[in-house]
Amino acid sequence: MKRIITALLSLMMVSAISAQTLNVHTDYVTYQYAAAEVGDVDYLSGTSLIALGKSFALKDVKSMQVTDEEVTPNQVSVAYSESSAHVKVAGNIAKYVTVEVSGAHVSIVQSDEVNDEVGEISYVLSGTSADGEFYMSGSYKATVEFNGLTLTNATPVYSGAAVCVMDGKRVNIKVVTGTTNTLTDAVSGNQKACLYVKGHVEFKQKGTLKVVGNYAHAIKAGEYLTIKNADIQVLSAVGDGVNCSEYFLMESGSLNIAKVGDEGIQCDVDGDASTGETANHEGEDSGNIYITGGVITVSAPRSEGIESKGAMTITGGEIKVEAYDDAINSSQDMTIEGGYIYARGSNNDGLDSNGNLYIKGGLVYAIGARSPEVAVDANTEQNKKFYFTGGTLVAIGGLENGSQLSQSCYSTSSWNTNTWYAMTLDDQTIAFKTPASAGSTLVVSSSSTPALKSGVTVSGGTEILDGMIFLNATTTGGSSVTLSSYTSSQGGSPGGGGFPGGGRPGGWW
Amino acid sequence: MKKIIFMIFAFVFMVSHSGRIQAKTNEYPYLTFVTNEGATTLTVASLSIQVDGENLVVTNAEGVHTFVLEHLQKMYFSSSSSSVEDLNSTVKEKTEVYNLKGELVGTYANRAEAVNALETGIYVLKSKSGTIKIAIR
Repeated sequence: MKRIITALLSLMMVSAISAQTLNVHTDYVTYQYAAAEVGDVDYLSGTSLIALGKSFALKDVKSMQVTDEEVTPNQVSVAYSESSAHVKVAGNIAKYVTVEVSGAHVSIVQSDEVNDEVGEISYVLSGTSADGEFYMSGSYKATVEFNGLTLTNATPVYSGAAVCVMDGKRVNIKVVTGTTNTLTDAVSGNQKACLYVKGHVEFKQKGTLKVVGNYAHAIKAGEYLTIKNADIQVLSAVGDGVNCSEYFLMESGSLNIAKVGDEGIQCDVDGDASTGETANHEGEDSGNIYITGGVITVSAPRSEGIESKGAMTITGGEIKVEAYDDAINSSQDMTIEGGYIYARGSNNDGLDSNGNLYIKGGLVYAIGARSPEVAVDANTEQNKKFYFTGGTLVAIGGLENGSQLSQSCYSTSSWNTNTWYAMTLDDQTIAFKTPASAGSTLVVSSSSTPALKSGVTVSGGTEILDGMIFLNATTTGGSSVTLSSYTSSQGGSPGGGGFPGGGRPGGWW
Repeated sequence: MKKIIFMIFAFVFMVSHSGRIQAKTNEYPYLTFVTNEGATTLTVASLSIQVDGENLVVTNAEGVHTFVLEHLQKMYFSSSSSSVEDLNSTVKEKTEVYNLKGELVGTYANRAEAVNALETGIYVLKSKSGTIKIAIR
């Protein structure tokens, strides 16, 4: 037995022996060559050396060292340290990248020779600089990792963005799990966003990314943008919080957008014509927004909260939007099949589809402004409709006139502002808080006939939508509200503000 | 007992495949510099290289070695210093040979003569071209 254990421990010790690496140091860049890979390092005429196809002028080589540091193939790491940055380049891809460093402003040009054989290059960014940036250009898919990065671009050298990726292919943005990263762009320049990617962006991993857009958008992708797991916080933006083309897909993670000058999230069609939704989104350029999971919180005090230039499909997640204009707007059909949604347009509709609007499931709490705005609006002017077939609905401000309501709806023509209501259904009680102002009619509906109480005290339950709703709520007190059957002809009718708080001072915006 | 052995094997397997501690089958403890005059093999322990004017100055645990840049052809890593090719017997300088105790084993007309004369073991060869450590097998 002792022999076996000794043998195994010996094996582990052997396993722990590290490899040799040749480090070629220039001013701000270290090129790292694994001894096992580098082969002959050739010296030419006493003036240059060549390692794995990368040529160095010896006058630029500050030193070389052999260390035990392991080299991760296909990786470039950039470590920011206040007014400087140091770049490490894996030797196997050294000949494919041209690095330039000015203070903490880093530019990397990735050769067009990078292909499937060379493989994708990862750029790992870490450290802190109050005046730095990362600029990369290339023509092959790449990965950018935020691994504990705090970067402000105060005096732009390459672009005004904190991170600018001029690569039109798929770019993974890995927000490394367990790290917090903050990006702030310059107040002037020509950047399209604080974090700009020319191609399509896929956010991954579970770290936190905070972004400030001082000049235009906070985050912009020239093509589609997907979010999975990451915690993204737009702290402020002159333009949109998140802007992209082709399509937007939120699968999981969280996206919190505040203090934006324009839309919270906007997705446009990139080309001249929409492709519509495609199988697995292959080649899709629809302007569609898909939300299947995650938590989205948007505060858009001057514009729309979430705007799709195509269709809007929500099948899951938790979405809270407060906007000056429409809270959630789509140029084409809007479909809600699941998830929890709070959508308040303080001066327009809660949900507004310029096509048909379908609510088939989920829990929707929509709040529209005074007539002619409504809580749930479809494009009846173009013979479109709101089709309500299932789910739980609370709509303050009424529904679009002519809606097709397959599920019975009930209403009251007056409601109290800033008040907790309890909607009791067969299986649970849902508590919701009314806004400071909105349209007059309060409409409720669920799969079972609801009973409504006003002025309840909520003492328990599952808080969702940033505290606007409690599921399985425990409530006490309150007074019963008489509900009447709501018909589609009641929708969109002119009316005053909600009672008694409609339009009164102190309301939201 | 079988369970314990199985667990140990499983642990070793996990460790060796976890990426944190990876098995290294290729070790390269030597760096060989090839010049017009021949080759010099140095151990890489604490090895650093500086360009100093027309020279390449290599410092390692055993000392300082200087090569004229214009005479340098290439350098490469190797797992052994024992091959005759690595030693490059074209070095025709007087060579002193020491054992690992630092005792002078002998003085030879050149490296090739030294290598041919030595028995199995590890030696330090010192000449004007530099000092190298070799293993004769």
